[in-house]
Amino acid sequence: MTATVPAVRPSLASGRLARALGIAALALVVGACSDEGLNQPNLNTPSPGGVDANITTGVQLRASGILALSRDQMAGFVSDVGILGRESYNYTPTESRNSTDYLGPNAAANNGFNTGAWAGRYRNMRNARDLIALAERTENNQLTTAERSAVRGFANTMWALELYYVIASRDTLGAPVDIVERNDSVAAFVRRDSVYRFILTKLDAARTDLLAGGGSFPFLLHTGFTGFNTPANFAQFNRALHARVASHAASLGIGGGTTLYTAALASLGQSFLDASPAADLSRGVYAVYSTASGDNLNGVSPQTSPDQLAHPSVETDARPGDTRFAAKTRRLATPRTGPQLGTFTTIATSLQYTIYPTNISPIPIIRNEELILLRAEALYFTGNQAGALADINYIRGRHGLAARGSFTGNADFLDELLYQRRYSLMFEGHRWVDVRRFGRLNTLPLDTPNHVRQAWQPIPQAECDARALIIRRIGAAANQPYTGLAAPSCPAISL
Amino acid sequence: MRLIRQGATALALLALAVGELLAQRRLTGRVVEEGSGTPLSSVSISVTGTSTGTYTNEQGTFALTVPNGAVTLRVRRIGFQLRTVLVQPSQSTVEVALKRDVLQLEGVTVTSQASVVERKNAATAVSQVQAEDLTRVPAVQVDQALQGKVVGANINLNSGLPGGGAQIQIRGATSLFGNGEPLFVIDGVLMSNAAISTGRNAITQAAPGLSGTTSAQDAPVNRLADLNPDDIESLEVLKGAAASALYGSRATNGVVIITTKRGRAGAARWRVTQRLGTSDLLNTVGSRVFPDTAAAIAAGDAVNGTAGAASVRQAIAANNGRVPFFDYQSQLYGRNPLQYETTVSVDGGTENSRYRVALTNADNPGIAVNTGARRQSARFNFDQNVTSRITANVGLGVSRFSADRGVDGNDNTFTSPLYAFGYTPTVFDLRRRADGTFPQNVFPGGGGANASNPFQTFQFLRNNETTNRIQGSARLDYQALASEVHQLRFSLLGGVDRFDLDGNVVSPTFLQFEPNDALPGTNVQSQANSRQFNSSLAGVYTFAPRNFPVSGTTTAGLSFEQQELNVFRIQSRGTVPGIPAVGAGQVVANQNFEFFRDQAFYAQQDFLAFDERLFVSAGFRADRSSANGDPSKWFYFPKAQGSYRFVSALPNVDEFKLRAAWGQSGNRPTYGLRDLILSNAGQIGGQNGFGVAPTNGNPNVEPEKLTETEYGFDAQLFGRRVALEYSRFDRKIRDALLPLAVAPSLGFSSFFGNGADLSSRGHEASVSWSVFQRTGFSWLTRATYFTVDERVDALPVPRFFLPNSGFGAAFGRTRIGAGLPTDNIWGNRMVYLPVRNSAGQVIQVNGRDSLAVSRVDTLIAEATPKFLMSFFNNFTIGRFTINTQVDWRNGGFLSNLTNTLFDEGQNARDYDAPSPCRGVRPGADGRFPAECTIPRTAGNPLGLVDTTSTATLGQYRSQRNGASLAEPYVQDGSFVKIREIAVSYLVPQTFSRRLLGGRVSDLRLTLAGRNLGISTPYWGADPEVNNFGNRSVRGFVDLAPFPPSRTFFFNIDFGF
Repeated sequence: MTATVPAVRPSLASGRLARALGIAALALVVGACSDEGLNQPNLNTPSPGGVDANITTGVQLRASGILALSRDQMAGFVSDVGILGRESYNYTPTESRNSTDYLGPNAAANNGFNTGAWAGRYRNMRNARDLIALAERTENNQLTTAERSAVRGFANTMWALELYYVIASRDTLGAPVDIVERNDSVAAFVRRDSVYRFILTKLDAARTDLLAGGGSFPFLLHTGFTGFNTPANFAQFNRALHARVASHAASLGIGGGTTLYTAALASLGQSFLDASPAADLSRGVYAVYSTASGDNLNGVSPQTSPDQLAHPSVETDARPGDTRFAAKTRRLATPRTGPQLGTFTTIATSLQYTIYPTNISPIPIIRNEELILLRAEALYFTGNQAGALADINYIRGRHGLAARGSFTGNADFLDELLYQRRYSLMFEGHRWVDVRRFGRLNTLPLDTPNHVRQAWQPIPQAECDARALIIRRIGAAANQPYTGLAAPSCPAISL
Repeated sequence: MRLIRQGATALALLALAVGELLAQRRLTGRVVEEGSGTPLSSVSISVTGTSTGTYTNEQGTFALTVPNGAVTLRVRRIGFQLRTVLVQPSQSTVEVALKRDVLQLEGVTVTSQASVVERKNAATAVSQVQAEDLTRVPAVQVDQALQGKVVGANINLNSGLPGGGAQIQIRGATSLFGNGEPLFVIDGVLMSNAAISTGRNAITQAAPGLSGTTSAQDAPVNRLADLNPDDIESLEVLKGAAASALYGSRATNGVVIITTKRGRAGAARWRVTQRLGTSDLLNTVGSRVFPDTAAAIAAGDAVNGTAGAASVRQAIAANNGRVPFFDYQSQLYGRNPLQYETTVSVDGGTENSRYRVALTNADNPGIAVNTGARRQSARFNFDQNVTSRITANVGLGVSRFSADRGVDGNDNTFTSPLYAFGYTPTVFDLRRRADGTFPQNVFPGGGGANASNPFQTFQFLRNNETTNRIQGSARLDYQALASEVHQLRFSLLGGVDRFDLDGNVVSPTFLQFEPNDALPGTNVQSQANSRQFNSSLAGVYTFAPRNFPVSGTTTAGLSFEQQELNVFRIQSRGTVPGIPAVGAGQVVANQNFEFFRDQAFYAQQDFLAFDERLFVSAGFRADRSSANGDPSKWFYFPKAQGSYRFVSALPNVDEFKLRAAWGQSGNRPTYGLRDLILSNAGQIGGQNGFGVAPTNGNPNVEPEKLTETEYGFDAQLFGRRVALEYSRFDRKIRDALLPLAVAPSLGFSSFFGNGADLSSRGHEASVSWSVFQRTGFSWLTRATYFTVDERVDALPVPRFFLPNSGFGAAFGRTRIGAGLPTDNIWGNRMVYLPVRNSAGQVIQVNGRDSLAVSRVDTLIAEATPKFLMSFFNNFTIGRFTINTQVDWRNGGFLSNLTNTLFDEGQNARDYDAPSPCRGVRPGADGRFPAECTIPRTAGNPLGLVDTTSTATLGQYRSQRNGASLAEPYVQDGSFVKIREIAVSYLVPQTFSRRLLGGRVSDLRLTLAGRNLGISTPYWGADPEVNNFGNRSVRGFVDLAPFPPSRTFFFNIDFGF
């Protein structure tokens, strides 16, 4: 090479240009070797890093996210439990699955409509987990130890609440309780009884945290929490939930029954239960709605969903003088029937609920009236029949019914309790759960012989498929309900 | 850093090694065409082993300073065969005769971003399109001009609207959810081919929802439309991974390399092309001419009940009892607009500075009022030999493209003309009245309340997009070494491509359909800002030792690329009358950003051996990108290829080349797939809430990877009069992106991941035959053939339906599943299936399997054509030249929903034709043909369609569609199209000089036509349409598109 090209001085112009070229090339080489510019954040959607950069702001955004997502599923839960518990219908003319998939032969279909509020519940549990992780961060001491404790208490209470809704709708199928990190894994399905125990433990831990949570939360709670928006007040809400879950578990025979009823009584004592003569029965915690941009409307209000109708038995079963029927329903000018599909038919009804009169009426999560009825139940089954009668008569008295005499036995008490719960907590997401936990599912009326009584909401197909794939991959035996990874009630899938 | 310092030192050393002081001499010469002796201008003369070179002038002569001693000249011009000429030391003049390259076997093809190889050695199939083939018959945009010209490419238009909206798919689908478009590179600048909707969905509501400004069905223009086809010198399509690997992780869909025209030394050469033309409706779906009053009234009743029947009756009564017929489509699409295109270019310069400037103004109005495309563009290219070793090339393209798009395609508001015409009986005069007003169309479509008068809509609706674009490139080449043995060159290239798109939809308050959403008046303002930047540095070293049979070329380089796209739209409904501005009424705004940054380095080694018979090449490119889960991880894309030429090995076989190539390329993940994001959970109590997103990001997402093997042969036979090319390709796509479902109990439902395996394989072949080659008469014919078979090999998830691939089981959509063709049409059809007992055994009747007909959701057809053929002919008869292109597509099915609309409205042109099931009786086996059965219903226990002697075709199709059967509307899209015919006449110079003055060099008159005729069994107007626009897997839905037009042009073209 050196032999054929004699070394000469380059011309001035070419030398300068060659140098410029060299410098530009150098810049390019340096540019291409650095990968700093390659790490680009998403410009359209916030990242966890962006939202959580400032802990205080992040805690507020994520807490509101949990409340919003929880609220968004409230109407669906009320509607599902309403249809399954023969309180309500959804007679949307163009969507027959709102009837066939709850009342008809498809009630147990994994790919139907009756799989409501599964993904969203677990998403919110993950949200709760993420919120706790955010609050645990200690940099810059943005949160005090007390505030961190308060956040933990809030998040775990909401986690427990979401899980309660899951087990209330899945019952004997059980449910996963853990949020696992890895995409290619799943949490095991846990038996129903263990799920209840898990919820109770979580609520207890949350209460401890709340009581150590100082005077205020490091975020704002919405108006549905009026009166329950400090850690101390919120603990009352926590105890109310604990009483509900403990009673439900007790009625299912978990822990032998009485132990958990006793625990429920203790919790009720620490809740906001008020059975004074003029007590506000509606005092409690609510899911709230608004017409503001980005906010949501109440989906079970006749204003937003005029196809939500009441089951005719609400009228026929109402006892004479009970003011609740008239206060909670209205009669439409013309009766309506739902869609007919082959042999599946629906019956006509002209009743509609007025419980949520406007599109922004709040839906109760838990309120005083339920607490009184929970106390009646817990007192009765812990042997205090007089106390139970007093609470039942208190509720009767508030709704135009005369006081009744003492119970003649368990069946009599349950008849009375379930009636009161049905009319007091009507269309608030209770009746189906109540008749099931006392083994009285068969008291639900069938509109036509083709209707069925469904005891649980099936596991969504997506959960079935994902688990089947994981089971296939790891070579574990399929169809091990409750213990393995397989979800119960899932059909075998062909891939 | 140490490496960098060393590199810089090396560069500086090379910079010093400049200049050489060899003794030099003057050489002059002349180049003529062999046979005729006509002098050839613009012939490139280069001295091998040096960077010296020049071009011949108009008289075919050249002068060159060459080193003392014997030199070898390479003499070449596009369209002629290359010649190398040895010039003895004593020789000072040279005369060279060039042979015409009628079969287009010459030229070079790119092998890396900085190096090329002679086409005769190329180890992959070469697909080049030259300027004259692109512009002989004018097309508004390049992709339209390319239809049929690239073997292996499937080019589909969204509709017949002038101004574009096209998809190019090369060698089959390579992705399900990722990018499916080839990469466009213009003079080294990576060009954005984004397709941005103007917001038409606000009018059509194809994706329902008042806040939905855009949908996948907006038929947007892809931004290749900004490029003026007249500026293109040549276009090369790198199809296989071995060829495109050099573009790394954006190359799986192929790379289109466009070279613009550049100036040549000499006095200013002006060239003027004036085109005048018009277009008219090529084909319509037609309308039914009602056979009698009863049929017309029945149609009115079917669509709009008694009110509809009454208005039809009224129209007939007003026409003295005769059923009137109004051919709506011929009326709306009946314009013959004047189209024109003027291009003026000038180039020239000295040997050391050359320039070319071209200006174009083109106006192509459409066949409907207020549609069309206009483009003004200017391109300025400048090449400078800075020193004998440094050359600089600068290019700048500026363009403005404005398209009026009207409205077409899918809608839910009955604003799309074919929707309205499909449901409106042809008995009303909907045209503008003498007083300027428009009649109200009384017919709502499909039983809804919405109705529109398309004549009024097109008169007043504005759906315009205007793009201003600048593309600039600068390139600096430094010839560090230039001896016969060693050559070393460095290239530094920078490119910028930016455009601003201004989309404007204005639907005035007074249009008939406007009050339907209770918010009269709809305006959308769309804005898109795209900025792209790329730079690269490359070094090419060639070592050609004397008296040694092997020479080698080493290429290495690095590249940096950045792309930004920012799209935002404001939509307002319930606007202030007469004002196109947004802001009044109900306002919705949205914005979407995209940002990519990529880095790459590459190296390649080529060997040429044994008298340039053996070519072997291997190389790799490494890429990393901000789009990948791990942005700092390099992905390597290797390639290797080789070819061997047998020269005159057999009688009549002049040359036979065997070639094989293997390579990998990638497809970068789409924007944001890697990002773990939070989703907005909405507001509650006045607070914004955020939480885990249902579809989350995947921090492990990687590029999709394509591995391709390609092999084949090229042969030249019978004294280079016949050329054959054959290639077989086999591509495997691994890690294709798809949404992976996870157990929802994880807290989210899916994320995008790599996992699907796809494949495509096929054949490409072409034969060119120079039938006659005489002075005054020649005939060249060429045929190309292409077939591809695409499959999904494996899928990590259960089979699923591809979103936005169709309209459900009753019309057909694409099902993705292992073993299935990638772009199948899957829908309901009637089939005979064996009847089984409860034990699962087939029940036997009279010793034979019993069969029962039932409706099954199954594979109906493939959207991929069985094959595509194109036929090209070139005749020269004296001063006349005739060029023709005919395309033949065999197969390729479509889901024809346009047909459904017209049948539902009882308006299909062939509605009254006999039903194929008219009078059908069961066959010998006692079974009716499956296509004459429908699912059993209470009223029709046999499950038969109407088989009476009066059953009509329209009723037959409707009945089957009513039973949710896709079949009658999944139709064969085979066609034969006369794509191009051009007849041109070269005016004798004596006459043209008398006419235009002494300096005129040539004057050519051309009559040209595009899309002149179509022959197809397909029911629709044109099978080359696609309702869903840009997507990875081919679209096959025909739903109320703008009809195709044919265009005629008269061109005057001369230079001086």
